[in-house]
Amino acid sequence: MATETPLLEFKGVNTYYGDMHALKNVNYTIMKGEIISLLGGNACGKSTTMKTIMGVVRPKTGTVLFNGKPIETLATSERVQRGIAPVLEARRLFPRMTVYENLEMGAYTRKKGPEFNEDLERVYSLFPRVKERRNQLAGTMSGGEQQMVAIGRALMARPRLICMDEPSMGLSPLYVEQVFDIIQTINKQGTTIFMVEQNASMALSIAHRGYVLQTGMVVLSGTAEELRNNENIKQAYLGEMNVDAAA
Amino acid sequence: MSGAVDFISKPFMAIPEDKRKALGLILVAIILLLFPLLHDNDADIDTAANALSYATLALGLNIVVGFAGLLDLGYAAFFAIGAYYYGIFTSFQVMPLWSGVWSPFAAIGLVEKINQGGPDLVHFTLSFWIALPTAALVSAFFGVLFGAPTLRLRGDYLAIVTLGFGEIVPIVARNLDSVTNGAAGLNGIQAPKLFGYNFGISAFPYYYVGLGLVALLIFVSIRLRDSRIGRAWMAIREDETAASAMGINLVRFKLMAFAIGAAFAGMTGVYFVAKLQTATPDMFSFNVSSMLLVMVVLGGMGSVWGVVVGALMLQLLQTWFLPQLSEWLHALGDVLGNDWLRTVDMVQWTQLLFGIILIFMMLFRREGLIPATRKVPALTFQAQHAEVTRGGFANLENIPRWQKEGGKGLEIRGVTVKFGGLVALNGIDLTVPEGGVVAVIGPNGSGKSTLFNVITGLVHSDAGSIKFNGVELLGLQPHQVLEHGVARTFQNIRLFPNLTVLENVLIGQHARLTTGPIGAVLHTPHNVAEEKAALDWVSNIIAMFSNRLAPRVAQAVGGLSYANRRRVEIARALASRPKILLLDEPTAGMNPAETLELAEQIKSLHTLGLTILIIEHKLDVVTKLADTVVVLDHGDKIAEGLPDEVRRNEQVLTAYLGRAARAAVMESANGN
Repeated sequence: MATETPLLEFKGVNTYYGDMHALKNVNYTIMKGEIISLLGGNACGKSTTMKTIMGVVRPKTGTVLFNGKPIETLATSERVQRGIAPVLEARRLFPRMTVYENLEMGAYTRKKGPEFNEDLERVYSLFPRVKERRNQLAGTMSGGEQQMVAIGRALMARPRLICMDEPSMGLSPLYVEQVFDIIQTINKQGTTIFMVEQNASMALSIAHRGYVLQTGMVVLSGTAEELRNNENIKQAYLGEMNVDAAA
Repeated sequence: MSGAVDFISKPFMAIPEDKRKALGLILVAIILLLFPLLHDNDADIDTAANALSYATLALGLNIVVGFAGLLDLGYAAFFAIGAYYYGIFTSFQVMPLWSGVWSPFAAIGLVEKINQGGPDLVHFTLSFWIALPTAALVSAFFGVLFGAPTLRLRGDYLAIVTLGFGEIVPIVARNLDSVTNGAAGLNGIQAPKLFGYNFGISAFPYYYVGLGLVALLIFVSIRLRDSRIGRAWMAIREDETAASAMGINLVRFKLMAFAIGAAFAGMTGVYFVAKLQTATPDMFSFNVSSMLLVMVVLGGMGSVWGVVVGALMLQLLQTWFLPQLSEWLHALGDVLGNDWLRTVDMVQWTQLLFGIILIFMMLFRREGLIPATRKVPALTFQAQHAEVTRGGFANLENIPRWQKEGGKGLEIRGVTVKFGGLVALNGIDLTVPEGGVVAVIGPNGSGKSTLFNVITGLVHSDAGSIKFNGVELLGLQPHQVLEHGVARTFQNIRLFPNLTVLENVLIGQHARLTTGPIGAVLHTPHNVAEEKAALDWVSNIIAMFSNRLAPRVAQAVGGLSYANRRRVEIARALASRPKILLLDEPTAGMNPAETLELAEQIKSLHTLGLTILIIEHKLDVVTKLADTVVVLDHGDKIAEGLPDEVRRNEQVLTAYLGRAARAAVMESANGN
């Protein structure tokens, strides 16, 4: 494990919005096959992390390595071509395109062919509901179904790494469970997952490791088990609400 | 060079900002007032006077496009209406036969009897000073007339229709020979007179009239912008649906924008033809409308000072700078012996230059020369650091309790909503008693948000009844529903992204204020008192969220975090002093600690007596808050009861809750 090249690595990344220092000397290491969960309150740099990975914002200093090669100067589309696919916050489907067309857009950087059909079958088998609804306009589906399409669209890029921004937001408990089941399935099929999630207990229940961000700095990291048992985390992110819910 | 600049700028920058602005304004005013006296060149003064008329037109268009966001490509039509109004009533074009009816008008100087060797005729002699305000009224009337059928359209469609009436008006003028003298245009239009002094053809007095008009319209624009009316326009520009849900009557305020914008153009029309003493259809072509739009974009959409600067700059560029530039190029051509340079006429290139300027503006400075909203520096992490607070809202001492009025609360009976073949709500019954908290849960797509939309008038119902304290809400417009005390938030957050936190929350007060355009411009005591009360109330609401919102009041909401945007939306709804609050997934996107904080805050509103209907996925929130839980699935109500009963309901477990909840139920059953 130690000699293996990490799939994604942040080395001393500093990102700014104007004068605001949004990521402060941040380091992440994500190995192939892992599920990594990024925790933190609102406006602590989680979404900035996602934007830095996808190239929507560029770090001022520091390096982002994907599979050992620096990518911080690449355009978003090139990063997608190298194998990073996003599942965006609030899903961001193309609402006036059909489900099938949305999936097609996921494979935009690739040629159509047998591989495309394979991937389509894979998405359809993971989400039978998406197959049923393939000719429906994406904007007319319920939030849970849209999240399935968003994940499906990311898979169509045949990514090595999927970055998910709040996959459970606005979903009913049943859908939340389904979404996390599917994330685990996708991971077992070989895709690495990096996710931002407010539902910390759910996220840590499937993640291998996690990082905790506070005001732009990584203040804690460790295995999911360690984080779950950390008193500070329990207080700040798992909250008493979960204790209530389990009771 | 830089030393010289420092010499002037350093002491200037040392003056406090508000005084610096006033000082700058006074300096500019003095220069503008002295210009014709110091620069005794009639042609240049004339150019400046024309430029001023473009500034007033740009100010008017700015109200329609910049404030209210209604893309109007036919604005010159109202310019033409004002121009022809004055032209027809002061020229010798329309001259009915004289009869006794006209005598009273003659007595007050509106007409005179003339004889051109035939029967006596009526010659209209409308005074310029009466024409100016009445042209505003006439054009405003046409603004409403053209606006009424078109304003239901949005965006591109509205632009196309306005393009249509922008063409129709000059065409009518061209073809209505008997009234307008067709393509040849009206001639012999009277020059204004003031205390016996005839303005004649010298540009000098017109320049001052133009300056006065610009000053007046800047004043009116600023007063309107900073009033309840300006806020309503900007809300419509940002998000129509949210604006109507916050109590803004869309049709009324859009028409008001159209009418006031048209009034500015009508006044300018009077000024323009009085100065030229002629009016032809070509003066009001599409070119004018498009050039005005360029001026507004260049200056800064919605920026009062910006559009004035934009209009003056483009107009002076065209008439002063380009001829000058041509001459320089000719001189350069003589030196270099280049024939092309020797003869080139840059004025011919005006349109091309406008195009280039526009492209560069769009690429590098989209918000215009003087942006309407000033950038506020982002908060540092330290400034925006907020601890999760417990125990509900803070600073509640200024929030009065909701008194029980003995109303029946919200009664929904047999409401059905169909979208094509899909039944989104199927005969739903639901009651929220006064002072109660009812939660609606259900899978995604089960009809929860549709329920909110049908209550608030955004979606039409096919059957049933929704009464709030006995008043039927079905069939009302969204703004009327809010006026009855029903305020809501949206699942996907619908704020006005380019407005600040304070402006967003103030718009919540819209329906509780009554100031009209005249009160807003004149700052009547009623208006001043009302604005102050609104600001106080809104400050109290913002203070409830302790330091989550207070440090950010001047920030545009578009840049806030998701959780803070949710808070602003709740604050905006509370600002309307609702009797019932409808919350659509208020804690989505919040972590458990923040969720708990908000749940307790909602609880504290309930303690104050507010009636609440809430859609929420997080069961712990529902359990904590609700007296009654209603479960929807595929448009049907599948369960209703106490939170604890509902979470054990087999149907609810299968359709909605999932295995964790089932396990919890099993466990507690075993424990018993």
